[in-house]
Amino acid sequence: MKTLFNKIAEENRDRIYRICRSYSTNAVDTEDLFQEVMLQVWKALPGFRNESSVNSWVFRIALNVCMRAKFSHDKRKSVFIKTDMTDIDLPNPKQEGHDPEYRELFSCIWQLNEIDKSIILLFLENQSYREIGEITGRTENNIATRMKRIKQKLYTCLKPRL
Amino acid sequence: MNDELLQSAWQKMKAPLQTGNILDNTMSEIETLKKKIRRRNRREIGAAIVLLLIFLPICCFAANIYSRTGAFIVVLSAIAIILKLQNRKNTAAADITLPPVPYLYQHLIYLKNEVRILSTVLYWYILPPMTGFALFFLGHDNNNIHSLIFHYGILIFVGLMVYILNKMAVKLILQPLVIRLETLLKEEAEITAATDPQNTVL
Repeated sequence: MKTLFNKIAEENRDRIYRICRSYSTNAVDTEDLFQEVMLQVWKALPGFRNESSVNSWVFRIALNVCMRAKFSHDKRKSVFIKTDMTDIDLPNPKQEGHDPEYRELFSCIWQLNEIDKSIILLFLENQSYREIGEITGRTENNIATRMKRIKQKLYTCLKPRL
Repeated sequence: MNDELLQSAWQKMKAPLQTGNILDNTMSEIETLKKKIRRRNRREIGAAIVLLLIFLPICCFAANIYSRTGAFIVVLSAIAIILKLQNRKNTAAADITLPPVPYLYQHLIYLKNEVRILSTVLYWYILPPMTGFALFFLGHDNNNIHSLIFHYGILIFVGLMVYILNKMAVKLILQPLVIRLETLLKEEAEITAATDPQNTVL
């Protein structure tokens, strides 16, 4: 099981980290959240059946853990219960090693609600509409309609910034 | 900016973590969790044993009927509280591998259950043992009104503190979470109904 876990961690490390960063307010909280996702992956691993791809399965766990953290009263996780932009540390290009475009994108994504955010995050991770539908339990058509609306919001927000 | 550029800008961010460390950290987190659970169980069972050791003999051998009845109620309440807490811990957690929206519905049920438990704390956590203690002290401080007032004062203070802290937790922490989550899920249901009424997955 350790080998499979290592393989999952190796293949999905960056994706999970990016999802966690999108739901947490700073880099330190992101690492806590990332660790929580990995813990849940480890705990759920014995029940994994090859009905869906490993990646879809991991994405589901990551999104559930991150969204749960936003609605959790657990003291350790309550640091995530922050909803407006003044409370969050936007990624710092120098400290976190990524470019200003990412920062602006992050800032616009933060303004979406948790469910829209989960859908656009999957899209940004190169998941097809069919895969996003599989992960979120929706039809491909529904995802296509939703994506149109979410992208419109995202581009409206990004346009004056970039 | 187009979709490909967005995706590529997004994916430039890399995790500042090594895979080997992830496994080590996960294993150590599991160990820490196990230790915490063991410590908590020991604490709860230890408290129950101490209460039983103190109040069971009083229950059987105290001369005063009030003290005996009070001690009996304290013992019963302690057992009931431990059973209730154990039962709550044994409740199966929501399946983390569910799609996000059904998972959030499960989480909402969990939060509402927490609200219900904390809102009724007066009836299952405070009043039963307090009644027992009140009767016990009534017998124990039979002819000493000052001692009785002192003990009742402590009882009322502790009871009030527990009640207020739980009420505050519900009002300031849990209820706002429930409202936010309900709002999100309501919006989601409306959007799903408008965009894809045929979607029966949710």
